[in-house]
Amino acid sequence: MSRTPRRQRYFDKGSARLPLILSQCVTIQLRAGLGEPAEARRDAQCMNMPEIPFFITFAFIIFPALASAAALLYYRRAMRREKTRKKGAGTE
Amino acid sequence: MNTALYVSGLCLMVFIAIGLASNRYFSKSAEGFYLGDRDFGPIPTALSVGASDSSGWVFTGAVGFAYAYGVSMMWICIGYTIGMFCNYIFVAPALRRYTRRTGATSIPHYFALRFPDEGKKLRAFASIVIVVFFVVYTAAQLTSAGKSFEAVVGWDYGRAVWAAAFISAFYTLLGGYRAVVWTDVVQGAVIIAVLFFAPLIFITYIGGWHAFWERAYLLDPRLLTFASGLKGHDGAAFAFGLAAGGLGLLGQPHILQRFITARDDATLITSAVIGVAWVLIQTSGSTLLGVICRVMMPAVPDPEFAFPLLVVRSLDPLAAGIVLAAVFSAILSTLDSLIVLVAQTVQLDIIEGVFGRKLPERSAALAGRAVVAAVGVFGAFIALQHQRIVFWFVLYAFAVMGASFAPPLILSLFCRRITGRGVLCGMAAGAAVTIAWYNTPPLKGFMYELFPAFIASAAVTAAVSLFSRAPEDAERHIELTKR
Repeated sequence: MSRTPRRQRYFDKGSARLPLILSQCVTIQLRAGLGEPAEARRDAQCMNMPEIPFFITFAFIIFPALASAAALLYYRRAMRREKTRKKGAGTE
Repeated sequence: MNTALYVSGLCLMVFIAIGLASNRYFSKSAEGFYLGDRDFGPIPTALSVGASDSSGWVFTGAVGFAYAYGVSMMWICIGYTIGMFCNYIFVAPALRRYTRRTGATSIPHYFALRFPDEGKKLRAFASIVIVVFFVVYTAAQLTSAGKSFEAVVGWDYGRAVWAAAFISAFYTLLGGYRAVVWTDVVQGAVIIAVLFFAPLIFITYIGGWHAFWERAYLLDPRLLTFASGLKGHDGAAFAFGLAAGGLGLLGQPHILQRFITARDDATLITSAVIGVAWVLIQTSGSTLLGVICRVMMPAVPDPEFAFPLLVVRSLDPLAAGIVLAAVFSAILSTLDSLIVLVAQTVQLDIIEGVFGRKLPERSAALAGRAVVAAVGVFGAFIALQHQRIVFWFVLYAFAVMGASFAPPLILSLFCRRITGRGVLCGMAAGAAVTIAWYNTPPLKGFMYELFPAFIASAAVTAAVSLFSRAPEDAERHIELTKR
């Protein structure tokens, strides 16, 4: 059987809608507890912050990206070295 | 409210049951009970390191700090990420190899084997520091548990502290180290899921990334500054002091214990990636949750329990129950790690190592259980007598451990010239400077005590070692740390 009909069946059964339904449940509950999100957006529009400070962009986006890249680079190099070492030990 | 409580109680029981079930698969020797046969793979190692390190501080202390001081909390993220990465790259592999080859079971035991001339003194001093300050650390966790129960359930603080002490001591009594690690794994997965998804959901609700920061800015522009509005030298010292906290990760005995029990070097390489991701999500999540709480509930009597309050007020009872389970998991996962390590230190390092008394199996088991109960009682007593702010209470115990153990440990793993006397003096200097700095108000206000104490400990270790007679078999010991 080709892959397209199987994917189609998945959508037909409604499984793909599950994340959407879950997020709607959370939003409904939040509205009940904290008020309408539209009010929050309207409040936010009245404020006059020119732009998000650089420290926030650095701390939440740039630094995590750099740290993750460094960790992955280390993983690749260290694992390659470990495999080479194991191979060397096996042939000795 | 009741539904949320029942759900969180059920979740906690499931987590503990998983941990206890794993108990069946370790050998019944002391090494099996206290080290889980040194056979943990990357996921248990990394998640257990994260869960036992994160503690109640993540959802109470750190959130409370971000509530009050805003994004300056992110200096802790930067420092901790670098500290954790260095821990996995440099300290963990060398320590694992040395302890595996020599049979060392703990950090005090490592020092005793590395420096046989001063072995007993080193083992005794390191054990005393661990026992005393882990009781303080336990008290901080119980304070956190008490505050959370008080905020969420409405219990009296004292009753809540005793309840938390009883629950954690009870399940630690039943299981060994392996049970603690596997409970940490399940609890860690829930903690990290909550720290990742909760900020996303709340920020989306508020109106997106930009709208969220604008609302925070309107409340208090200092929330968005790098040093909470402080400028010049004060701001730099404040930020640097927070970031330097990452140095402390290099010397936490309950974290180092996870490296000792890792299966092999490849395990630690994979754990490094998971560990870095963990710290990034944990500290960013806590910071965002703190600012979110400030935006949604600007007037909370105690910011340290703002997050449990927000959860109870705004989420579906089922979701709130799971989130509260994560909050209590963070506390319990650290409590059990601390308690089991203190029991191990008393039994293996003090009674057997220092006094040289090998207890019969039955007496050893009784002694271990008595220590577990005593730690719970002492911790609860301190938490009731000195109800302090969790954030600073945790950081104090964390600083003493970090400054006492990290510099001597790192130097002894990599330098041939380090001597036992140097390590002993370095450990004493680290503890003394931390205590003195913490109890001197102008110094405490200037900078977090860990950095100066760390520098003092490193300098004293190096200086005393250089003035002592060079050790004869240093080459052999350093070889044991290499591949």
